[in-house]
Amino acid sequence: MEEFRKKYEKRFRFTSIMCCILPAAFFAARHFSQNTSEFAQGLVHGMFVAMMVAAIAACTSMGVTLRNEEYLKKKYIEENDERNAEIAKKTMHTSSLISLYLTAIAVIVSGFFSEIVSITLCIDVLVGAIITVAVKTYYKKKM
Amino acid sequence: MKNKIQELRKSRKVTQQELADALCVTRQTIISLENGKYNASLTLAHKAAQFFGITIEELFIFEGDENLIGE
Repeated sequence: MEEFRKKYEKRFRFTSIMCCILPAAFFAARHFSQNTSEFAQGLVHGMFVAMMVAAIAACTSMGVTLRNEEYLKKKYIEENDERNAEIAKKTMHTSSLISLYLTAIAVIVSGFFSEIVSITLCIDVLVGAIITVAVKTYYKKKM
Repeated sequence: MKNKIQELRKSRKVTQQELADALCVTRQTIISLENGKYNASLTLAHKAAQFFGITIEELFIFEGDENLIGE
């Protein structure tokens, strides 16, 4: 439990730093995206505002959890529950497989309409497959 | 894999929440274990057996294909 508290405090510090860095990064991104299209500017604004809101919400929630022993234990159980971990693992595995197969189908379908889209999707499938093989090789050696 | 968790828990008048807190898992995990929807890891099986003061073999019943090792 004490180990979890230290880990959680580290996470809280990291999120707090993010809360400070993000507004500065937002203004920098805004400055550099002044000459870009309205869509790019909107994208930058939207992404940074969403990240800032998420960071502030996470920071507040973590601060409350760290001050209350009961909440901290609840969080510890939530994060260390083996059934939840198993569900997350299976969800990731299944969803990445489905996404890979759907993108592969999209490569074929988009080939009839747009060459650029088809090639982009093809690269996405290849990169996804390479990452999967690399991660699998890593875990085969590690375990 | 079947188990005697529900039987033992009820006989000792322990609630699902109390057992979940003792084993550091969520109540939902206890419910899934009792219903046989989820098989516990070796660590959790060991913790549960320790909680009830019995062995893993007494708490979990291996049956069917799970007993075919060496055949």
